[in-house]
Amino acid sequence: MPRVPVASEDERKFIVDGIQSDFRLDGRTSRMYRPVLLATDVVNTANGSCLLKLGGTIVMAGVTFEFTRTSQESPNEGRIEATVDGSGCHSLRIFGRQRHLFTKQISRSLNYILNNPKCFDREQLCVVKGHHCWLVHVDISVLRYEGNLYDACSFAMKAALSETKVPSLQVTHDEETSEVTVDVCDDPFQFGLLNVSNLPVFISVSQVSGIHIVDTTLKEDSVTLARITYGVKDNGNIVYMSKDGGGSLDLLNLRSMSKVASDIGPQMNSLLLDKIHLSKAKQPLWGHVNENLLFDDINFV
Amino acid sequence: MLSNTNCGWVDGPEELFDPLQFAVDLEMTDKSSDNGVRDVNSLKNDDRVFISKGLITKANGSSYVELGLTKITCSIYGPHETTTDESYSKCLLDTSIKFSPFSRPKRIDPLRITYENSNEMDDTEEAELCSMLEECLLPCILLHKYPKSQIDIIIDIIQEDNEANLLSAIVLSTTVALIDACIELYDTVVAKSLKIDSNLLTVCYMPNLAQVSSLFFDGELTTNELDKYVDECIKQCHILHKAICKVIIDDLKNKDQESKQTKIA
Repeated sequence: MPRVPVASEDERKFIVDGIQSDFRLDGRTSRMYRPVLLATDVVNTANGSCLLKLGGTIVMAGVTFEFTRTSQESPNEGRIEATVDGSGCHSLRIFGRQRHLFTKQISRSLNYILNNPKCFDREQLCVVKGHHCWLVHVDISVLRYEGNLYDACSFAMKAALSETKVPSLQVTHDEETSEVTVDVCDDPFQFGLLNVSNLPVFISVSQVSGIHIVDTTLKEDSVTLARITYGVKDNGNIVYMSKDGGGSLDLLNLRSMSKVASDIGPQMNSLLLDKIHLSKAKQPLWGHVNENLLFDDINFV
Repeated sequence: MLSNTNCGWVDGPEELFDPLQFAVDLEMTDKSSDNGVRDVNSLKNDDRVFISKGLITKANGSSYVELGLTKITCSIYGPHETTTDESYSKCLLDTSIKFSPFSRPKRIDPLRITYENSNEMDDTEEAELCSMLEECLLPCILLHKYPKSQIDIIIDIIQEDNEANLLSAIVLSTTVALIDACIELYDTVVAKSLKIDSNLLTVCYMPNLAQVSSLFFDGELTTNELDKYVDECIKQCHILHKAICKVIIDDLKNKDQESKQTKIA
């Protein structure tokens, strides 16, 4: 994870003491997230999109569909891929190869949950069994980084996918020549929706001198010893787990961290769902004419 | 002869210990080959482990590990002066993992262009293993002892048996090679993967410090089940740790005897 050097040993102590007395730099408690603001369907050219602010971290997710052949190994499943791009973000603090490795790691984690059959049903992306399927690209770009990119990316991905309009198709099967033809429907108001109810969100739990905190900011990252990113479903089950930060953990800490994650995961999941519904209701209000959309917090829910 | 303090050179550490006093004899009923251990009794047939070190003599440290049918060599070059300017205060780890073309039933094309920025899922497998390995080695190496330098870890996967064994074997071979290269470590890292149904859990564990250095999980479990899985992994890690200790202590004893014999001669 990217780290900023903390100015002095005193500042480090100040941050750690704050965490230990359950009052962090921005006034949060250890189990509290920064405010999540999101707006869905912000890009006209993408099938689904989401702009998400998690405190100072801003990410934009766009979903696009591509028509391809099914693979031989899984003839009745479509394909889905996530990429994370941080090349245009100066506040990411790390450069060159290190930055590439960091964003790659996030996209790998996202791909793990997307390709887990218990989280996302890829059969809904299949058009004609054994012939055609959708290849869905979830492209996330980091606009601003102030800590906790994992969680922000997974929130944005879930919000974007739940608002994605799947182009409706007309499949005709010719009995005589046994040819299958697929046509895209002309009517732009005919579309399907993806089922993303099982898609988990990432909850990153960091350990700072024995205390477990969620949603670390940049400064807190620099005093973090180890961090585990959990993929948590809305029922509290854990579907993904990976560690970064370069420190080690004992078993007791590991246990309480997974408890923290499975407690907060369902809360964040339901919060996100509420936000998505609110954003859907708010969309007709601003339409696509508001130029200040990306900068005005009024447009977010 | 000039004394050491006068010319400013220090030949070695101030205190010296006989390494054998740290070695604890392990009671393991197994057939030992000349430089390795084949542990048959305590593990299942497909979890059989063979460890040997010092395979590649030109490298600073090297090892060869068989875990089940997975066969892996690891060689370590360094610590040597770093070529990049990313970090000066700490040592840099540069890992590279390569599948040999014949390591899987389906041929892996060695000429395949593995650009870092390509979007192909398959290309990232080696890179992914690299980052996992680095993550699990970072807590165990005393990196601050080697400032302005880097350690190159080069791993060749000769044969891959199953997905679950792979990372475990890679970590095992790297640990043995790091010891062979005499790089200072807090503890030996051992990794064990469990694959039950569609759940894959890998835990990298440092048995003497009782610390988990890295872990990875893909599947679906409740927290209680996950804790049970982690416990099971750690149990298996202890067995692997014994196997590593056996190899290293035997090696140490052999070297000790050799040096004594040359002294007599």
